Amino acid sequence: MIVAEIKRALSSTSFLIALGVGLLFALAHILTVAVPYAFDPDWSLVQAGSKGVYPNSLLNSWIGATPYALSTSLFFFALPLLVCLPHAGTLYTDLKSGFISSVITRCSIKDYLVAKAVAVFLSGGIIGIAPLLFNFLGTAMLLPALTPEPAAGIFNVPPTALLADLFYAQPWAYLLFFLVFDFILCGIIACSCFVFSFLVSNKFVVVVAPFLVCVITYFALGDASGYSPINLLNPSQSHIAQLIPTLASYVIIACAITLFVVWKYRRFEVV
Amino acid sequence: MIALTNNRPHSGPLPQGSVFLRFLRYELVSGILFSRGRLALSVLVIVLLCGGFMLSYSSLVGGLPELSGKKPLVDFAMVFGFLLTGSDFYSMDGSTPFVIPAVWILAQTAIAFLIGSRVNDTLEDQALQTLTRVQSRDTWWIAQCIWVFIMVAIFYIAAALFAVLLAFILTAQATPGIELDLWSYLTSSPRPEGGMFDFASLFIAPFLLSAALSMLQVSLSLVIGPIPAFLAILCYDIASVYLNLPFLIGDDAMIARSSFAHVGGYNPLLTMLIALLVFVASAILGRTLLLKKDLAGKKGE
Repeated sequence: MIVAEIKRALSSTSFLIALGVGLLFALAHILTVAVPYAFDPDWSLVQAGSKGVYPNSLLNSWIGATPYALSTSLFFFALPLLVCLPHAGTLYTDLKSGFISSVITRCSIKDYLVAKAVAVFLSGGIIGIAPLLFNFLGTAMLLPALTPEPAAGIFNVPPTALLADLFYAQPWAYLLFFLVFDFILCGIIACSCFVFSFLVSNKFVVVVAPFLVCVITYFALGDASGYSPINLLNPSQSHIAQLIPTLASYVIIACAITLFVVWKYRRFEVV
Repeated sequence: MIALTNNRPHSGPLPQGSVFLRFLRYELVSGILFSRGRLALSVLVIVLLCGGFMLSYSSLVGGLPELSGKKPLVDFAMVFGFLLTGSDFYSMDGSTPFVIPAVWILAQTAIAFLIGSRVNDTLEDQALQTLTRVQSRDTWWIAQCIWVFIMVAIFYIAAALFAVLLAFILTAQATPGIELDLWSYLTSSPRPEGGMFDFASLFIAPFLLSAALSMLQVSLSLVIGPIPAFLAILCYDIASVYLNLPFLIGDDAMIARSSFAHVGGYNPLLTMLIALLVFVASAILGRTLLLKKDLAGKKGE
């Protein structure tokens, strides 16, 4: 059942469209930010052996390090919606169309929901990090990875940012953390559509509601907007967030989603 | 609940005009009033538009230059006209080159969400039933266009009424005798001679822009589906925030900032013309697409 659901999720047209849109933003960022940086006159000075020059490099030029760029803003703003596009609304359509009645003659409702959750989580995670990886590798082809230097003043990770000390001490560990964190966060956002699948009767609302929650928390929470997914998905966060409260709040959200779905499936009846 | 069914006995089919009026009434009422979620979101949109106005006004008053050691008088018409800014007003300087208009984005997102959720109902889920009742795709489409226009108008009229109320209160507290040409202060251009028409146009321009983008969203939904159309409109809005390009009409709803970047200052008439053009073009495009749309095939997916 899990394999069938994953195949269904990853081979759908909407998955390819969402992935394509994400990659388009990543490509636009390479063309508008990384390419001009690669031809920056500062590099000529470095090649000529000048000292004291610290040009833009990989770790402050990829999409996760340039919060001021339009392509970065568009990508991280649209990401909570993109991750829900491929498969997150299929629980609602399966329930509404009666397809679920056919499925549970072949397996238990529990197996079906677990398979659905795994497929939605994976599809959301892949949509989330594939454009990031593509952009990182594309930028790496144009710019070298200089070690982050706080005194250079060109790295968009302020001392108050999440894991800022790790970024300047072990930048690759910092990147790995954010790629894993983004994958999990995108998966949780996609799975949150399950809650709305049981609460509302409109596919548009089911798929877009998590995005709307993310936008409202980002723009309306004031000082607490650092904990909005739109801020946390971006490695160079515009707002301040602490590590422990961040992890704790998303573990609680994931548990709440799971408990809600379990509560619903225990009361599930095929009409 | 208002239904499309005919409760009165009649002989033969109803005239098309009667069906249209009944369908339009159904669209207007069921579009917002009979959906608690959409009603709540509509209230949120109005609160956001009013909140945006208050934030902008408060930023403006805080940043006004003092004349002869006193805060200048901002007359009623000027306060009334300040709704035109449509975004968080801020004083551009070296330390604050750019501020994301959060309230404006939230309001536009909520409007796009409302449009998308309704379009999903009418053009996707209930399409076949609606067509069976209305019997004419033209009637259906015209009712959709009117619904979009009226719904967006309600939001902006409510916000304008709030602005008028606030204008009465705030102008009573200003220092009399010292006046500031707020028009020039806001738009970086000389105050035109048009009088009230210019103020009226400044009110109408942001509304027309919202209506045009909403209409475009409905038409796009027929081609690429409600969710991608919602995403496209939002990306357009965000791009408007970041870029000052003539074809990004969303930016013209944020005149306080647009006026800094537009050569020759802000031109509300041009904005209204572009918005009207987009609205009409979207309506015509949407009608053509709806006439060709395979509603039965869509239902089977």
